[in-house]
This record gives sequence, C-alpha cells and structure tokens, in this order.
Amino acid sequence: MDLIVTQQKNDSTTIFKIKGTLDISTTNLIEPHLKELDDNVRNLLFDFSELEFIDSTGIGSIIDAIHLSQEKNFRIQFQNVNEETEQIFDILGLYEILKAVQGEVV
Amino acid sequence: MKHLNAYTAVLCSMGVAGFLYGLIQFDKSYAFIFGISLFIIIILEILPVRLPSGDKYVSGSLGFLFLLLDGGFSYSAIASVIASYVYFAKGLRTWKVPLTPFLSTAGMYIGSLFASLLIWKATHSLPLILSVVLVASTFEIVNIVLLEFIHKFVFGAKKIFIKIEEQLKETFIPVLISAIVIPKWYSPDGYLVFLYDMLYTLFFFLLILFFSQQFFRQLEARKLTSRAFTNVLESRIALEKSGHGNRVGIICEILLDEWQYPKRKKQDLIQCAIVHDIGKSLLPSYIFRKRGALTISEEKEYNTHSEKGVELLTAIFLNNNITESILYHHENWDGTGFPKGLKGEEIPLEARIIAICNELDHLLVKYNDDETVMELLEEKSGTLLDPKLVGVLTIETITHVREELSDLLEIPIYEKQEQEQEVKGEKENQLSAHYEAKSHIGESLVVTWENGVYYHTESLPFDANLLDELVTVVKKRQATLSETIQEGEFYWEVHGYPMNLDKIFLFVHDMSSMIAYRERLETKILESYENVIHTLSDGKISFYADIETIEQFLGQLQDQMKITTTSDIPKSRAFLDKYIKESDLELQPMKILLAVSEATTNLLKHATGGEIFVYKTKEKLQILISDKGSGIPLHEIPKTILVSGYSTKKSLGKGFQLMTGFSNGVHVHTSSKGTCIVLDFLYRTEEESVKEKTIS
Repeated sequence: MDLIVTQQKNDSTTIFKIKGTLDISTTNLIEPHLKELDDNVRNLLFDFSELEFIDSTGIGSIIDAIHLSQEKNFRIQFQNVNEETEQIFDILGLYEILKAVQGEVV
Repeated sequence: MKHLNAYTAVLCSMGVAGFLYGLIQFDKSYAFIFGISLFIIIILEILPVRLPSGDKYVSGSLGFLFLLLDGGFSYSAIASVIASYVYFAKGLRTWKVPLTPFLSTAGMYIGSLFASLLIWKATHSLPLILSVVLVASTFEIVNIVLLEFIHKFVFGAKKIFIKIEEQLKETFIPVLISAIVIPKWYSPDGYLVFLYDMLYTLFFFLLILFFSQQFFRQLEARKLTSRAFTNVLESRIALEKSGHGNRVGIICEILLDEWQYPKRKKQDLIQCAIVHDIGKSLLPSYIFRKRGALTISEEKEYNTHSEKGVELLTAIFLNNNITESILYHHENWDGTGFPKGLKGEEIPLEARIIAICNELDHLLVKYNDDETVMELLEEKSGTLLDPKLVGVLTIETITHVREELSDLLEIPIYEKQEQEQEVKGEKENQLSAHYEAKSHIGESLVVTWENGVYYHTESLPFDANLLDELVTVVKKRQATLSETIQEGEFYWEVHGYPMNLDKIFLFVHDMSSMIAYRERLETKILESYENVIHTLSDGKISFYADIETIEQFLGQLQDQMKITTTSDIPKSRAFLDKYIKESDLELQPMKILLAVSEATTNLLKHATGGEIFVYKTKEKLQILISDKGSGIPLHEIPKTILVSGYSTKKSLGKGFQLMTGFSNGVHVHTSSKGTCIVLDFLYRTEEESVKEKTIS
C-alpha cells in the first residue's frame, strides 16, 4: 500500500514508476525489482510523478541502483521530480553522485 | 573537693602557730633586713622562673632560708606565711584567698623550715656552704614529702611517691642556687653590704627571668608554628587525617611524664611527635584517599614517608637522636616494621615512644571505650610496641589522655558535612569524594566457600548470600567464572576459582570507584563536546551532557507515540501531520516530516525502538524523539553529528545533515541510557504570513 513499483519495458529501457512512500518501511520493496533487472537493459528511468515522500533511507536505495548501473553498464534517468524532492536530492548530493558515475544528469 | 581534713588541719595550725610565734619573737632591730628580704621574696613569688621542662621554679624559698639562717626561725616563719598569701592572691587574682589551702601551704613551709632549722643547728660546725646545701636539701625534701601527702589526703591519689626520683632530681637547681646565693648574703659585714648583695642578686634574677620569658615565648611560637604547619599538611593529605599530629603531640606530653622521660629532652620529643608524619606531605595524596589496601608499589611509596620526614626535619632539629625518632617510628618491636626492620631495643627509645603515641591516637579516635583501647594496646605490646613502655600505662592514663584530648577528638566540621550529605542521599557526592584523584583502584578481598559455608566474610561489603548463584555454577562446572554484583551505587566483580568439589575461592573486587571514575571522565568529555558541536555546526546543533537541560526548555506536551517497527515510521508522519497542519510553521510540511523521519529512522537503525513526543511553546513546535538504546558511543559522537556521510550502519549517514537543514534547531543528548533528539520548528511570524498571502 505504501509503495507500489510498476515496471514498464520498452526495448532496452525499463521504467520504474514509484508510487507512494520511499523510506525505511518500503526500501525492501524496491530491492527485488533491481535484482530482477535484465542484463541487456541500457536505460533505467525512475518516474517520481506519484512519489509522496522520500527520505535519506529511500534515496539510499536509489544510490544502490546507481551502483548497480556501474556494474551492469546502464544509464539512470529521473523524471517528474517535483521541486521539494529535487531539493532533497540536491542536499543529499544525489546528482553529484550520478554525475560522477555517468558524466551527466538527464 | 573538701580541703579540710585532719592532715590539712594539722598543717593549718602549724601555719597559724608559726606566724604567731614569729610575731611574738619579732625584734624591731632586724626590721630592715627582714623588710628587704620580704620584698625580694614577694618579687620572686610573683615572678616564677619557668624551667624548660615546663615546671615553674618559685625561688621564694631562697629568701626563707636566708632569713632562717640569718635572722632565725621566727622571721622565716612570718615571711613564709606572707609569701604563701601573696602566692595564692596572685594565682587566684583575689585578696580573698581560700583559707585552708593558703594556711596548709604556709604550714608546709613552716614544717620544712623547722626541719631545716634542726639540720642547721646540727651542721653548724661544718663549712658554711656545705651546711647551706644540707639545709636547702632538707627544706626541699620535707616540702616534697608534705606535698605528696596533700595529694594523698586532699586529692585522693592512690599511690604516692611515684615520681620521687624525678622530683629529687628537680631539687638540684634550687639547692645549687641556695648554695651560691645564701652564703653571699649571709655575711656579717653590715647593712650596706647586705643591701648591695641583695640588690645585686635580685638584678640577676630579674635578668634570668626576662630571658626565660623570651625563651618560652620562642618555644611556644615554635610549637604553634609546627602545629599549624602539621594541620595544613594533614588537611592537604586527607581531611580526615587532620589533627592527628597535634593529638599525638599532646599524648606524648602526657605519657612522657608516665615514663619519667628526662624533662630537658622532653620538648624536642614533643615537637617530633607533632610533626612525625610530615613526610607524608611529600607523597601523592591519592595514597591517603584510597579506599582499601594499597598495592605493593603504593605501599613501598607510603613507607618512604618516615625517611622523607627526616630529610625535612634535619633542617629544623640539629639533634640527630631526635630525628631518628621519626625515621624509626614505624619500626616494630618484633622487627617487622620499616624502614630498617630494627628489633627490640635496637629501635631508639624516642621512636618506640612515638610509635605508642601514634597507635594510641588511632585507637582513641576509633574506640570510645577506654578499656577496649587499653586491651588493644596491650595486644600490640611485645609484637608492635615496646612491652616495657606499654606496661607502665594504665586505664587511668588512657582516661586522662582522652580527657585532655576531648576537644580535639570531636568530629571535625568537614566530616559532619559529609554525614549530612549522606542523610540527604547525595550519593553521587559521597562517591566522588571517595574517588577523588587517582583513587580509582578499588578494594579487593578473598572469600572462601567450603561445604556450603562462607569464610573470611568479615570485611565483605555485601551479604554473602549474593554469592550463592556464582558458587552453584562454579561448583557445577568446576570452571573459573565471574559475576558482577550491584547494590545501589556500588559494583563488585567476583571471580570464582574452584579448588575442588567442596571448596571455592572467591575473589571480590570493588568496581564502584572504577565505574564512578569512568563516568566522571565521560561527563567531562561530553561537556567538552557541547562547545565543539555548537561551534562547528554554526550553532544549529546543541549537544547536552545531561538530559535535565533538555527537559527544562520543553513546552506543553501535546501527544506521544511509540515506534517499534519500520511500519511505524510512515505512521509517525501521519501522526505528526495533524500538528504540523494546525500550526502555521515557517518550514514546509514535507521538510519537517523529512527531518523527523530521519530521526525516527535512526532510532530504529541504532536502537530497538523508542517514542516520539510533540511539545508546543509560544514560539515553536518541538518534536522529541527518544530511545532507550545504548546511545551513540562516546568517541563516535562528533563524527556522527558533524560529519556528513559518516555512518556506522549501511545508510547514507546524512541524517543529521537533513535534520539541521530542515528544522530550526537540533538538540541532542546521548548516554549509555539512550539518545534523545529535539527538533525545533518555529511558527511563522505574522509578517511572514501576510507576505505569503499577498504573493499568492
């Protein structure tokens, strides 16, 4: 109920639509999705349009995804990040990490 | 005390009879010499010469004896009665002197003079000087004898002539002076020569008197100085030790009389007794504040105090014998003492004396009952103390000493304060007073368990039954095991060593001092963190060493909620939502919830759960998040709170950064009993709300 992750696949691009809350109570729900990712995936897109709440623990699991992207060599993109969330991402240095890993932020 | 009895009645009538006889026989032609002699006698009676032994030498008898030899019995009788009166009048500072003591004294003089007269008549043919010596000796001895009977009949002394030897020695000076002075006066060369001689002698007497007064002032000053110094040093060593030196000095003064110690050496020895522990001031003070037995190296250090004392005192006392008394005051009669392990009479007499005085003071302070003190002293006689010296002492001596010390044996003020604190239950103070300085090493003892019975439990500070469980397990497993026992503020660590199936050695070690020491140390570190964290976080994070400070600034409690599982985290946000919405806060609700979420998440990551509280004051909403976990480890506190990205667990380690960024203030307290975080969220001021409305 608190977090629903819907996967959508288009060729080599996978979209994770995050709906609800991403915190210590729900991070365990996103982990299986990351594990099950295809080896041939080239782009992972997080859609935050329906994200209600995220904290540092939740962002921790996105950083896990970034680490995975290095291993499996795919790119990560965010979309529909609202202003508040963007501020948190900024404070916690998420964009900096992403930039360091893939050179640019999309 | 009744002064009048058969004996004193006889003396009184002798006094009256002598005086009357003297008046009847009085010849005016002798009035001049009599007058001058009487004048000198009165001066000598009023101004006694103080002897170094502490006694006073009243030299009036010189005049009586001169009158006896020169003028005859009658004149000396009148003079002695008048002199006795003056003596009493001066001593009691009144002209109305009590009749019986005055007349008894006069009677004693007349009795002594009469005996001297007989000797004078008998020895008239001998050379003058020899005759005078015999006369003066007779006078002094008869006087001593008559005085001893006063002690017996008036003061009820059981034994008399105890100190006769000492007293006879003391007659030496008066007899010597008489032998020198009287023949000089006793010359038939006419009034003028007599007057000249009399005044000449008087002048010298006054000179001696003046110097003896000065000497005594100096002696007194020296005594007071060393007493004051000893007191200061003792209070530096340990408060409960103060007064010991002065008491030992007084004890020594009394006991030296019992042992008939030569009076001329007495004052120096009393000085030594006062300062005998002066070497302790050169030792580290924790040795004296320590509870329980000293370690071997501490004991070694302690034992140097007698040597260190001597180093200090050789500068003050030039007499080596005297400083030796301090060097060896911890030697035991049986050779088990220090520093040299001397035995029996190898130990200098003075050191043996100080050892007894020292022991007696310890016993008097500890026990209120004189019989017990005497018993314990006798117990130590022959092992630690010189049996001959102890043998002289009686219960009466002990009682006498205690009376003399009565003012000094009272509980000193600081101890009273300590007791009051105990009453108040301020155990912390009590503990810290105990564990001052380096005294964090606690007491240890060994208890034996054999066939269900505990042995050597006399000094066990807790009930032996508390050891039962450990004993049962050690017995069963036949292995070395340990256990901690706690009672109030006190902790003991007990190690059980099985010897066989029926016997276990239990080593008990007091940990309270160690724990208290560690807690004190932690508090100090926490206090230093307060400043460090406040400064480095630009005043955004306040750290508190104690929880009370935080409790003080909390407003009205609104609500609370328990947090035990991860699912409580989103619930806690929903719970807070209501309070955030109803108050018009400066920060956006999302940010507030995030800040709180960080704190509550920490609580689950680092502790097993906790609680969240909502408080309100006039200016702000306060969210308190507390847990009963083990707290942030002391050395991790600055890193955890200040270093962004620092985490001991698998997490971003940005919790404190978010809490600071998304709140108006963070307050933290952490200890081994748990962690407590308060987040401040300010209400919007009217100005701000108006501005916002205008914009929208």
